[in-house]
Amino acid sequence: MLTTLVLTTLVLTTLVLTTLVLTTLVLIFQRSSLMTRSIALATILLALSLGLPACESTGAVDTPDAATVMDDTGVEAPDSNVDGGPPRAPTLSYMPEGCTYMVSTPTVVDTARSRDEYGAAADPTHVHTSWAGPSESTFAVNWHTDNDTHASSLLIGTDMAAVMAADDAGVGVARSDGHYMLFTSSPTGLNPEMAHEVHVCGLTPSTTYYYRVGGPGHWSPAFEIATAPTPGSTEPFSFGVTGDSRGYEDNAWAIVEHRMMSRAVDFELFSGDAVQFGVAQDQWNQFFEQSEGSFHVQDFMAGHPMMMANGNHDSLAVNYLAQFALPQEVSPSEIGQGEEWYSFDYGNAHFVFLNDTVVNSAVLGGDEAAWLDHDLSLVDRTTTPWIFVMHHQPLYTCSTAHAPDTTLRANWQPIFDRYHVDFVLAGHNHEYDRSTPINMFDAGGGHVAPQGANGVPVITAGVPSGTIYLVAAGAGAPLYDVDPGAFATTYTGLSLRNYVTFEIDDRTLHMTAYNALTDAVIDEFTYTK
Amino acid sequence: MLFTALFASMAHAQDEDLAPVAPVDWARRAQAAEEAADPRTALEDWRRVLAATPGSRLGGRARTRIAWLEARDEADYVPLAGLMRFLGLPPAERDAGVIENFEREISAMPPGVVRAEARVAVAGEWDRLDDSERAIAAWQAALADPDLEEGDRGLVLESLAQARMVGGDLPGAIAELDAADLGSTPLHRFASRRLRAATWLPVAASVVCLFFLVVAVLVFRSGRAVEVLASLKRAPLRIAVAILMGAGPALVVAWWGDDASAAFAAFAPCSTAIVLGAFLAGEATDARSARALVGVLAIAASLAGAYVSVVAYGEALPFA
Repeated sequence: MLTTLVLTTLVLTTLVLTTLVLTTLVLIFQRSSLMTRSIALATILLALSLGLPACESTGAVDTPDAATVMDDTGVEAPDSNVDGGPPRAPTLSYMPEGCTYMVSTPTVVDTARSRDEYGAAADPTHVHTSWAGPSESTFAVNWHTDNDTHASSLLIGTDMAAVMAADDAGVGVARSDGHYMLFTSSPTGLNPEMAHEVHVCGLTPSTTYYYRVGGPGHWSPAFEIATAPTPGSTEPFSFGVTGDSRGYEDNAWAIVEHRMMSRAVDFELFSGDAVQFGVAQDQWNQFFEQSEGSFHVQDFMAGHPMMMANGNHDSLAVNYLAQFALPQEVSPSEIGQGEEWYSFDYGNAHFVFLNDTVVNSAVLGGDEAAWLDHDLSLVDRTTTPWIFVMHHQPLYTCSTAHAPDTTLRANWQPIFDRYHVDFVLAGHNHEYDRSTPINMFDAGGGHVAPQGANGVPVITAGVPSGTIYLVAAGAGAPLYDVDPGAFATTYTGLSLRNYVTFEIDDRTLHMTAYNALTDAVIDEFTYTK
Repeated sequence: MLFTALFASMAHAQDEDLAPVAPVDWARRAQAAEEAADPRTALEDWRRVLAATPGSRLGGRARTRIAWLEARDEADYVPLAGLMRFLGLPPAERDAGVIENFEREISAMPPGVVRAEARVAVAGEWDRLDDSERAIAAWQAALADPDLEEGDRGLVLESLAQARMVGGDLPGAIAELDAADLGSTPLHRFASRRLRAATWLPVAASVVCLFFLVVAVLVFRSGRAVEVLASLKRAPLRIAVAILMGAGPALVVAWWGDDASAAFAAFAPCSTAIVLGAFLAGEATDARSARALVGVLAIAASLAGAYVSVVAYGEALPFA
């Protein structure tokens, strides 16, 4: 359970601080005057009072209990239910109809396949999409209802009128059934929340679909979503990049989502820290409910898949795992149902998501690095010329708040260099900053690779001279200052609310960074491989 | 721009209706027209995409862009073209002269969404250039625009308050937010903290200085300053305790890699020095009143030092 580690964290912290306090007290009281004893006490109390909020903001990572093994029909192993109601199962694993991948839940209070039961507030809210399977033929939807609603179904078709008119599967309208998860981050099971999830498979590439979620008699409004082009296709597409919405200052989160929707990006990459505390569901509710006038973030998220990286504040909490459906190929040392690190393809681009907030840092350079190496080795660069990596804490940054993460640099950059990764996208520092192309590093920092006008990499036989490291975050979190002159590897840095779009048209890439509040261009470049 | 050059020749061919064009190419052309700040051409091309392939991914994209463009059709898209041109300029080219020119352009725009958005854009640019005086005037103009989207009003009000803060008018910023019923916003809390800090920071720094001054006076008036200072050398445990108390929390927090590291690191030397100062004062005098005074002062100095650390280095703290 998530709570296992949160509690362990708190207990350890308390033990460390208590030991510190007691040791100090013994020393002071043995040898000192009343005055020094008073000072010691005051200082210790001060340290504790400062320490507690600091520890609160430290992320802990979910360590789920061993999942109950299920068969591929989704038959869950029921446990006894103390209140005499239907049996409850803490985990579920099944292969959704028509899909070629398994879906597993985190450990929750209760989970099961959809059944048409409704509570008083059965209308779906927080509707948002992502991919757990191939982007050209699948998508997944998550949403929220009251705790008594167990209907987790979806109607889908290419004719909006038919989907709107249907109450169940029929001509031109298909139905998919998913599962529900009653989850809580409380160790005592307090305040559980209901999340629903459906996976839709077997779709046609590059096609617009309309769907509704809920169940008969309780369907949501219709949402529009499009599948990706066939893998390797040269069809143009675009995606948005943002992160660190926590805090929701300046209404920036809703504004960024609104801007991206207006720009008609196909999907969104989020570099982590959606919330201040991963276990605080009220903050996740804010994340899904922000609005700007008549625009609600659901308007965008329901039609444009959002792929997430775990941030240090998200903490791989059960709230994160239950409310986002991400690829679940479990590799050694990976927790969170395999959603810690994963990859997917869209058109002719390959996207890799990594987790840099791990319990055991040896994993970063061990199993996670091995997975990364293996994943990138499988990319056929003749049909997939573009590689993007996203994670939370930047290897290169000119922020004055958090220094570049040299541990991650040592563990991952050699792999990025070996496979000529085009972009590494991060957040954590609430600002915009772009590196020069970088290839190799030493104790003094990254090596600035040959660059063309406007800091773009020099392309030789389709291979970029270096990787560009981009920090594009602060969609709601407090802005940090930047010092672009501090590192030779920094190309530009700005402290403002921002978002970024990438447009890829075959072998040409166009990146634009915008001031989120005014929509003015703050940085842009184009290059062709 | 990317698509402009790429499809200039194709656009020419299309103008002359020389060849059939795939929807994807109309989409490329529409994108190129948007980048070239030509909304009318973009709209025509997106409509062609939608007509040709309404059920495709590109059709969905076309629907979104058409809706966005059609909502900004004032004066046959002339104001929108101006706004797109302005926003698309490289930041270095959006200097004060360019902004002033665009402000003149705005004054000739008909009422509508584009004019309101243009005013917001101009205000943001004055902010970017740190010209708070003109930013305040521009945010006020945006606020007064009847076509400003209701959902953006709060943002504009906050931006106006922020511009006042940058201009050094903290009470004005707070009053602005209070008047707009934005008293619970993070910006209001930030401005209030800044205002309090402006008052209390010098006081806190003075308390810390006063403590060290009193310690210095006690040590030197004892007539055995060298011996008092040497007492620390004789009792290294005291130094260890001081360092433990000062740097211990900082080390713990740094080990966690927490956002609060900077504030704790800043507080560590101050805290260590205060504890050492207190040890020295205790060595220097046996007078109960003096020791009590130093004790009280040390507590106050610890609090004051922590306050200064949080204000100066607590940028990343959730509560700072």
